[in-house]
Amino acid sequence: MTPTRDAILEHLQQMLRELASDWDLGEAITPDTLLFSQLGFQSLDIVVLGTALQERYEREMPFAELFANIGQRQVRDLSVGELAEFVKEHVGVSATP
Amino acid sequence: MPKTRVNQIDLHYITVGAGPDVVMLHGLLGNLAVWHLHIVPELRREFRITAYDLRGHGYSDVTRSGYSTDEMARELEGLLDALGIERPYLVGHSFGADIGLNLALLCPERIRGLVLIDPTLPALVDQRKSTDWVGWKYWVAKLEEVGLRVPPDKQTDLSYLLNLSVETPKFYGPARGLPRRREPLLNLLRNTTLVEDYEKVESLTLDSIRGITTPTLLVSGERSQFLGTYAFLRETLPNCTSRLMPGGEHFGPLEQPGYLATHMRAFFHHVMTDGRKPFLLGSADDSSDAFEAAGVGD
Repeated sequence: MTPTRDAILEHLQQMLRELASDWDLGEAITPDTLLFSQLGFQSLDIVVLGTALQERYEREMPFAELFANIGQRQVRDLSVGELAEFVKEHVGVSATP
Repeated sequence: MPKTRVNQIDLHYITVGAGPDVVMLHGLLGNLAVWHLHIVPELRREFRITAYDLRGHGYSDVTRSGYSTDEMARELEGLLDALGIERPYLVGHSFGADIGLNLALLCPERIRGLVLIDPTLPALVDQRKSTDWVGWKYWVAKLEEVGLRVPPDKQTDLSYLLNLSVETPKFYGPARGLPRRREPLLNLLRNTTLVEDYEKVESLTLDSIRGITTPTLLVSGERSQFLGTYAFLRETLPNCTSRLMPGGEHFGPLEQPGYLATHMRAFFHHVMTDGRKPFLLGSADDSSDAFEAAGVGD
């Protein structure tokens, strides 16, 4: 059974909390939390997180395209909720109940 | 976050994909993300790729000393042992390329093929000590582009320019335009021997390079400030194919990752299928293009 967006979001928040001990993120993490400007993410953090997500869901996800998309935005940032949505698109998620 | 213990420090690495092993080494003040933004996704279906953060960089441990290319090459050997990687292809950018070349000198039996992307070569540091070196002007111009003024007496001061560069926003990647995480980089520059070790020549002398017979692909940007190194290696390495990346500067893995991935793949396949013959089909001239002959032209 494929996970719902909410399940992905919950898992993502949990991963970020676990990684926070390495990264010293120090803030409450919500779907609106911005990875770069609020959590201080660098490219390396995105790579670490992206690799962990691909392992967790056992599939490749086009992070390069996501990065390119972020690079073209007026505000170059990505929220936790948007990242969950990106993952959902690539794991063939069923509709949220 | 996967880490492995080598020489009493923890090195952070990421391994993805399946196939023959490729190990990737980033440059000075960089980290493994340089490979993962584009190149790793392009190659991971054909190769098992391990990229790691060099000592002092990314999420690897920082130590006060131990940053010469000899020491870093021995550390790379330790990493290969720790991860059970027998004989990989090595891909290095800039300082990472210098380390890869140093390992090819120290332990040629451990390396299947070598891709050097704009190496700098500590033994050629005297070329860059001159105030006329093209790289100084290029570097100062880059800093001034983002509003950082460089006093005239500091325009050829390596340590000063490195420290000031940490103040610039990111030029590449998804965080382009956003500030860097400065503290770890400043710590590395101010509290370690990195900068002096970077210029240390131990086993990798200019003469020693003539004896490195590992199949090598050498790529530099055609507008790189390190073309002096490119010219030297192109003439000196006995089993080397060289390519100038059109329009490229120093940061090839970020500037033209597609070009590099295509050329790496062709080179790896050549070594796999015909490893004892040089990749070069004609002379060492860049225009006599082995890639075009292999159907992988630009």
